[in-house]
Amino acid sequence: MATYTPPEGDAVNFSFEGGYSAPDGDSVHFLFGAVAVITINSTTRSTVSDDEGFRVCAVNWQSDTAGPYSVELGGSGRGTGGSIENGTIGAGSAIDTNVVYTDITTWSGYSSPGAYQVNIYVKSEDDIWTPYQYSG
Amino acid sequence: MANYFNLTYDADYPTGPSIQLNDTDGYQLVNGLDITISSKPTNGFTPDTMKIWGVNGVASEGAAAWQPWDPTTTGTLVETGGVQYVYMRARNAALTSDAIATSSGIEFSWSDPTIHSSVGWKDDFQSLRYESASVAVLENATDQTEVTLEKSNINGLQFSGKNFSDIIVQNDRIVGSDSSYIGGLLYDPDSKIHVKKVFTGDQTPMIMVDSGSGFVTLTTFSGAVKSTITGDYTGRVDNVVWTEGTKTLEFDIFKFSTYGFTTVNALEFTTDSMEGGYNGNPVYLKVEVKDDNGDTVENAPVTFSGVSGDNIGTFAVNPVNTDSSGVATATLNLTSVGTAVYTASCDGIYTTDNQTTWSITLSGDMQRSLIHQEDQVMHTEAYDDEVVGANTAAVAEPTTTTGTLASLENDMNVIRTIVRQMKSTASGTNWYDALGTYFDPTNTTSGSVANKDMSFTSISGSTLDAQTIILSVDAYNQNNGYTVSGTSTGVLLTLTGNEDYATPTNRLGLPIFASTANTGSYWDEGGLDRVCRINVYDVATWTALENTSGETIYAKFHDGADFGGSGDGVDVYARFYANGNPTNLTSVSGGVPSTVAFVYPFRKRVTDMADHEWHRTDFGNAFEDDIHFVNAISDLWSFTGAGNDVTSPTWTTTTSGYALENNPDNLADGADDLNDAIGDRDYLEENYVTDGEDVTTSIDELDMGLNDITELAAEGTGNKYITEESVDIPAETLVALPAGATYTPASGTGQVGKNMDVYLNGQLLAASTGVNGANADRDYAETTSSGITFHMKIDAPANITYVVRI
Repeated sequence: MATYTPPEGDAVNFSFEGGYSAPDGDSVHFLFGAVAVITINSTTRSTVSDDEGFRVCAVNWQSDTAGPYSVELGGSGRGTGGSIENGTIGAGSAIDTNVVYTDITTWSGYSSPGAYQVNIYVKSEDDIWTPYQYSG
Repeated sequence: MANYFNLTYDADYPTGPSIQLNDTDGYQLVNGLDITISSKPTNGFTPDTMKIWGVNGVASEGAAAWQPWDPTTTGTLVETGGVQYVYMRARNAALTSDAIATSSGIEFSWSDPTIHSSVGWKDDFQSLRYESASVAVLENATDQTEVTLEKSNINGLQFSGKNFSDIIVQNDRIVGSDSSYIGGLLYDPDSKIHVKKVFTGDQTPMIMVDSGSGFVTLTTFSGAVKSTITGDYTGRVDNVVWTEGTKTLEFDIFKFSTYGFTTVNALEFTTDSMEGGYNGNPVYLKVEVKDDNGDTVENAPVTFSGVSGDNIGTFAVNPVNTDSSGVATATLNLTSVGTAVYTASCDGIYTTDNQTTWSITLSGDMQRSLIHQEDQVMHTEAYDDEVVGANTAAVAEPTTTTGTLASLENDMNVIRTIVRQMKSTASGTNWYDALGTYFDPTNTTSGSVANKDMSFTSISGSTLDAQTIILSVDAYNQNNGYTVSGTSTGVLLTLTGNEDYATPTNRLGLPIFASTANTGSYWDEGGLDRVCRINVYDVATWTALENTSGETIYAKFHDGADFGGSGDGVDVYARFYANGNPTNLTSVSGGVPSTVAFVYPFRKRVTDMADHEWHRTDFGNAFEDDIHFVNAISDLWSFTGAGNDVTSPTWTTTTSGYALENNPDNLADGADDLNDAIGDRDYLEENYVTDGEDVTTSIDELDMGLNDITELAAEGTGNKYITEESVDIPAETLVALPAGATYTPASGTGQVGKNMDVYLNGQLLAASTGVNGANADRDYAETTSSGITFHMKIDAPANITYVVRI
């Protein structure tokens, strides 16, 4: 388990994801673990279409910790979006992941052309997946 | 840095005319010269041909040629610095041109990757078109080793400016760091590095790895991953191919560490390799193979061969591959007697020591060796346990008694056969067939159904009927019969013989049909045993009772305690029944009897039966009855002195004066003579004897009376002793009686001195009182049984007279 050093002072404000609400009371125990920090180095394009030659966007990204990864379309946390790619990545080793337009158009959450969010998650050594929209 | 980005899908994107390079919609810095070109005309324009310039050495539109429309094609940048652009114009079938599309800027840049001094790039990156290369090979020419880095095998692999210096190839070692750039890429389990190495030796290499704890051999002799590899050593290498002709080893590395190579180094016969066997049987020679690393070698072909000695056999298979333990086991089938020396080799390496193996003849006295016994046990399954006939010496012998079917197997099968004979020798039965069932003698109400398993456990304790017998006993009340009336429902019989009630445990004694006071204690409550019925007879006519309906009136025993008696051992109630129901004697055919008698069943142990009792049974056959009857007669002869054809007794003494002087010719007359001779034992005065007492008592009384008279007579007589004393006897001196005489000192009141008189010079002296004259109150004391003590001085000469009575 990684070491967490809280900020100085008596009051620490936590925010929670995924609709989680902390219980009431003075004695609430939280367990902390390290999460992978993901860096998206580049994307080859911001828009894809169904025209040949413009269908793929390659994203180059890396993680500060090694482990299994999951690239998903939409959703609000690991496992909630449409799966684009799964694999295992080493720490600090950038890899490319191709996102094809059909990943969008065939996704169950697809409604119409427009912007869709691509999320990348890596599971840390503490068995914690990178949170949704985590900036590290 | 966020872990997400937005990507827009737009079916009309891009608006034309448009051209993009490397699937990228903006400026890009690339490390390779080869690019992909994506083109799109203006929306609604149907292209037929196209021109592309700015790549492939075409600098201007004018220099470009029309070519068939291709929305995705490739091109080569100019190998120079600075931003470059690529242009495209489309034309339709009517030769109408679309507007020119211009790409975003693209700039080529290259930095040589860093590598270790032990390796060099097999091809320079210029020839590989820099980053456009899909494969780059690091080689060590000295060690003839190549490490291939292929982008299709390594996700994310780039060359420009990357550091590969952790890949070291030298001295039969390939080293890489797990935490390096390439090591990080190999974290993906699908990523791998291909290695190719040429060896100069003659031996087949195997791959080993050192993860910091020393080398462990990963592969078998044939190249596969060893079956014993576990844990962190799994998944490291695969696709191992050894080409013997070129001595080339190729394999893929999936995780970096320090890899090395090893070969077969040592062969050794194992300690459990058989040193010999019997001619005609196989022996097993085992050899363990190890590599330079000391690990056992799996799947290595080991060739066994004779070195010297006799040709004692042939190998079933040769060579033999080693198993997962690195052991090759060869089967040597012995074909002749002798001794041979064997060696084994693998990959040019021979066993350190040879193995000497012997083959001997299997002789009769060796048949009980462990080797042979194992063989016998193995063959037991095929044993023929057919039995020719029962109760013969050969019945327990197997049909086949030779060879491996002798000895231990025989012993086992003898037992098996005996078991079979105990069960059945009928055709078609086996020793393991069930024994079946038999009729349970303790459950006679089950009819004739065989209801008990024929096992020793079942038989044990269940043979009661075979040990006991039911006999008929009459209850006749000393020939008087039992008084009854018409209202009598039964008779309480007193058990003079203290017969017990039968219990379910042994059923010996009287069968009790019912008991309220002690319900459940006796057999056979409820009348389970139909044999236990009591016959009732009219004493006057000695006929069985019958009611006016023609039904026999019989009786059943009830607990005497239920009918005013004491019960078990004391009395029993014989209750009248007719046609299964209790009844009285009101309706007896022919009138109510005044007295009745009973004949009831009584179960005894066979061993407790008296001879005459056998005639009371319904079960003894004529032969057995005769035996017992003759025995009884014989016993009677012995008892009476009679014999075959002897009609009168012979007396020992019949002379005059004896009781049997009249020589009676029968025992009754003899007894009468004795009776007369003894008399009526009636005495007139009964001084010493009493009327009616037995003769022995009378004689004993007389004997004692006569003895008393004899003693009294002796007391009145006595012996007299006289002494002449010539020397004074001091007072209080013990004086011994003369001639060793003795007497009985007396000290009772009024009886001192009664057994002996002492005279001094003719004058009678008086004895002192007290035990042994202790009171010293008179003339002398009876000190001992052989002497007295005078209390005064006796002056000599003196005459002392002793008269001893007793």
